[in-house]
Amino acid sequence: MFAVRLQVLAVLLASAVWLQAAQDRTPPAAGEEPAAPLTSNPQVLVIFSDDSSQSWIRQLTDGFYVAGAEGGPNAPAWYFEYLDAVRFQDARQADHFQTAIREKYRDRRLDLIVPVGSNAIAFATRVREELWRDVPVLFASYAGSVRGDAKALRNASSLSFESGYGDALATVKDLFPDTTTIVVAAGISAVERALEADLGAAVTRAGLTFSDLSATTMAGALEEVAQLPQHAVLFIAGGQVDERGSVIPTWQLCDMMSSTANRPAVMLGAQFLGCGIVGGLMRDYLKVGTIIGERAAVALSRDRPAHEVMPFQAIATMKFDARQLLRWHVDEARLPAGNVVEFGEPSLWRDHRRELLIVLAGLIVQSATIAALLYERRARQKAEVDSRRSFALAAHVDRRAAMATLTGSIAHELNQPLSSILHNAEAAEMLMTSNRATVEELRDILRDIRSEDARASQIVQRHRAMLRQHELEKRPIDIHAVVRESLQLIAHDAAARHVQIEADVPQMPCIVVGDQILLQQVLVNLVLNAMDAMKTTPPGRRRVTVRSAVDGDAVEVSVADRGPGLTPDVSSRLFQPFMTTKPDGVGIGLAIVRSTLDAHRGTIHAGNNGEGGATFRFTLPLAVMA
Amino acid sequence: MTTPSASQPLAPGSIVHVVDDEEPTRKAMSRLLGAAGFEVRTYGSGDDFLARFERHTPGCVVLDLRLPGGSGLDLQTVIAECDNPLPIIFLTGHGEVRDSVRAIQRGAIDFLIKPVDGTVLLDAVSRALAQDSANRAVRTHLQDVRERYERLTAREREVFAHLISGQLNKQVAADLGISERTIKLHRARIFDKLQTDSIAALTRIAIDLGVDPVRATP
Repeated sequence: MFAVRLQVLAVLLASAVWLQAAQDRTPPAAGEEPAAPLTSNPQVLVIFSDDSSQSWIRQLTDGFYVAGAEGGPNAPAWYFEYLDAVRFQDARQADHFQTAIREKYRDRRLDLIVPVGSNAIAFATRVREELWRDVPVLFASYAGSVRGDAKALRNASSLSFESGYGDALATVKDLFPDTTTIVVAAGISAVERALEADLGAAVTRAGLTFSDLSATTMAGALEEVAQLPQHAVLFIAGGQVDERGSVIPTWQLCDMMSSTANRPAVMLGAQFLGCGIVGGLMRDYLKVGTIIGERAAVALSRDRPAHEVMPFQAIATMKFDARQLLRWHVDEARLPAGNVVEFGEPSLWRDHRRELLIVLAGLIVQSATIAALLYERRARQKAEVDSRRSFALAAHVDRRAAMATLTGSIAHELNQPLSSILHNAEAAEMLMTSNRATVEELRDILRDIRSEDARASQIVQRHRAMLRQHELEKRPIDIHAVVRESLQLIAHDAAARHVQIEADVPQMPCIVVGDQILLQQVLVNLVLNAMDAMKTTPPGRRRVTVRSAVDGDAVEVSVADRGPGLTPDVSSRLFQPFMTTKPDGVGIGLAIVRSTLDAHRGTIHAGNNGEGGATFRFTLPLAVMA
Repeated sequence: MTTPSASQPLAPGSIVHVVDDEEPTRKAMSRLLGAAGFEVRTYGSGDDFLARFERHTPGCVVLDLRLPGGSGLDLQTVIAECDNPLPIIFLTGHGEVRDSVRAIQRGAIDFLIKPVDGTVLLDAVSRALAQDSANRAVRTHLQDVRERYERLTAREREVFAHLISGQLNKQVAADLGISERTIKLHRARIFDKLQTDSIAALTRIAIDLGVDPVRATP
């Protein structure tokens, strides 16, 4: 679960980065370049030696745009052309290119020509007189110096960059101190040969043995790199074109070579980090492009040509591939200061320190909460045991409170049979005094007296049961009878409060297993509450409706009033002990109702009804008939 | 224990209506009142009573304050709206002071707390029946007077209102803008119709019927 969440996080982060990068890469306003004659901005034609699909070329053009963006509103408008000289080495191709360029830019005013790379420099040098006699030129070379005949041209500036081979080889020695040999893999084009020669000189200067691949085919080269000498490092310098003239994308070349090689591989271009090279101090083509762009802007505003050589440091970047460091057992701690390690195995702690801290904090909080809840649960269980002990007592106290409320009803109920007995006795006496008494009538009177006495004693029994402290005692009982009996207890009080009690209770017995006294108390509490709720209801409207009905394997009893209903606040705390809305209430009645129903595997719910009042419904499971 | 037949002058045909929802109580009370010589009818509810009792027969009502389907107080209100309201004796359990006060304020003749002693009940019933007789006499007299008064013409009622204010014939004539002789003619006819012969008797009739005198103009 946790891992999945992290992966999702990583994916989200990655896509965010990718989106950002994609936006950054979009050449600003490439397609919106206005028709040249209309713009007053300087217009610069940049000619690259290589084809536009090469990754470093893309980084170079990006660099031009970076420089352009820094130039503000007067930034040059860049035009890019690509010689693709490695693949089109035939001299006639250069002629075609020249024609194409001439036609294409016939109606353009060009303020500066920037040939980049040795092939482009050679081309520009050749066609300068014919195409751009009076247009200033900035020759730029990122690998090796600008040739002398180019620099000698009129109104021509030059910019070259230190090759950086020396620095690059120094970092190789730092990483692999036992290195003795540098095996260079390079293509067969003229440029690459020259480059290889430069590199060879640098290797020798660094005190290492230079060696190159003897194979002229890709398969042979791969065989060779798989059996490199023990202390060698493979330096991939190029090799775009194989012996059959087909072009191998550099990334693919690097991938194949470095994965086959039995020794570490390095390259000079930083953009290749990730293809299988170890990394080190490398040339960052975005920086190269930016610097050429900046110098171009300078050249536009300068009268006199200048010749400049950029130190390698200006365009260098130090990056490593963590996977290769691992493969060649290089301890990251040994890397030179200022390094950037990419492609690390997603180390959670390193890459997601912040997220991890947050998650960790969350876990701690969660654990603490769980611990607290567990503790609370134990405390509650203990309290429950305690409360079960005190439940009987509480229920008893509550019943006494209810009965105190109903004392009027006791007196009233007893008054009825007592009055009857008295009147009967008086009538008999009167009849006998006046000698009008017949035996039949006297017997009738005595029978009524006895039955009224029985009624009185029943009333006393009923109330005494409610007043006695009493353990839970479950028996099969008729819940409908319990409801009716409870309403009898309440009847007098209801009349005194001008509350009409409407009962819809079937005569057919409905048997549940339960404690008659406690269930009676539930009813009494609910009806007393219902009546209390109607204190502000006009007397004519005060009505409590009690319904009892069998529904499936349960019986539902509802008590509805016409009071103001339950507020959400009260609703939520209804069954909590000591929750009361009455100024003189203890708040134990509904808690006892709930506990009693829990003890009977029953449920209780409260809600508001259509008449504006509240309805309490409880259910009890029916007794299973054996 | 006294027997009412000897000491109480009863209107002939008076009936004691007992309204109580408890059958044993009704029966015992009916038995006691019957033994004491009263004619008794019993009713299980206020509705039952309203449906069956004869409005013009003299009598009284013994009413339980707590009745299902409308309290005894509600029934009292209905009874009071009759032409000849029967006096009511309320019976109640204890502790219903507020309702007792209201019942008395609305004209209950007695308010007895259960269980009520037979003597007390019989005394109360006798008093209620006597009260009913007296009420009926007063109402009969008033009815007579009203009928006679209603025979007066509009002009005569105007003159009547002036006469009972103590004005002289001359002042009445000036107030009404007619001659003193005409006033004298009206006065004779008023005396004749109301079967009386003095201003004092006219004033009594005016008080009984609630006719206001005309305020003298300065």
